Amino acid sequence: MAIGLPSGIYVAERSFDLARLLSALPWLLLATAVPSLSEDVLTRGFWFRQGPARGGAAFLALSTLVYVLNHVWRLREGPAEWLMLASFGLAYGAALLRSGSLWAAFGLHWGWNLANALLDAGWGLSTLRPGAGRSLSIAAHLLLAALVLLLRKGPQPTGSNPS
Amino acid sequence: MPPAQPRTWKPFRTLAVWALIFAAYQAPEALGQRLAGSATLHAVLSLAVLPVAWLLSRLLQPAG
Repeated sequence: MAIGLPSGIYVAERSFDLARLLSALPWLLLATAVPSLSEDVLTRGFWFRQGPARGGAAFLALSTLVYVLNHVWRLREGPAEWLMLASFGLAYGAALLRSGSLWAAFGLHWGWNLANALLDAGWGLSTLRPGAGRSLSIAAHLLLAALVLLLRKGPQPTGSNPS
Repeated sequence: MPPAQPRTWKPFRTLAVWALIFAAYQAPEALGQRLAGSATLHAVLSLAVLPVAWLLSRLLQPAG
């Protein structure tokens, strides 16, 4: 937002409305948390525990691919959208990989979704230049992924389903 | 302490279980967000995904 507003990528439709933001907050907390968590379970947690590649680059690639393909309603928006989704999947998958916990991925994922919803509630943000908006989101998530991957590795899943 | 058993990945069973969880995830979005245009309905229906995922994932656990 600090970059997007001054550069005309986003526009605020009104001045900051704290009352509107606070009245929307309880609902937005729930409405963004539940789908984020269920998506994290589906696209990352499940594969971290049950998948063939439970660590490293292979898990990251698999979970990123699943995350992109899971957005069936947005795939028709084209390769730029796929790339943005892939950057999201990479950052959140890296959080799970590094921490060994789905909560880290959920925290980043929910935080992003909640921040977007709150910005919209507070300022009524609209995107004037969708391509540049996507680029900003990609840059933010690649930076997040890089920061997360620099962290020390956490616990890894144990072998829980031998035959 | 007994030696850890090697983990065997069962691709078909894993994919089948995941496909069911995928359907449970997509249904709330299709019904709530796309058909009814309601983020509220989407979020409420999404609550069902978590227990469904938990129950289905138990199918991948070893017996006993």
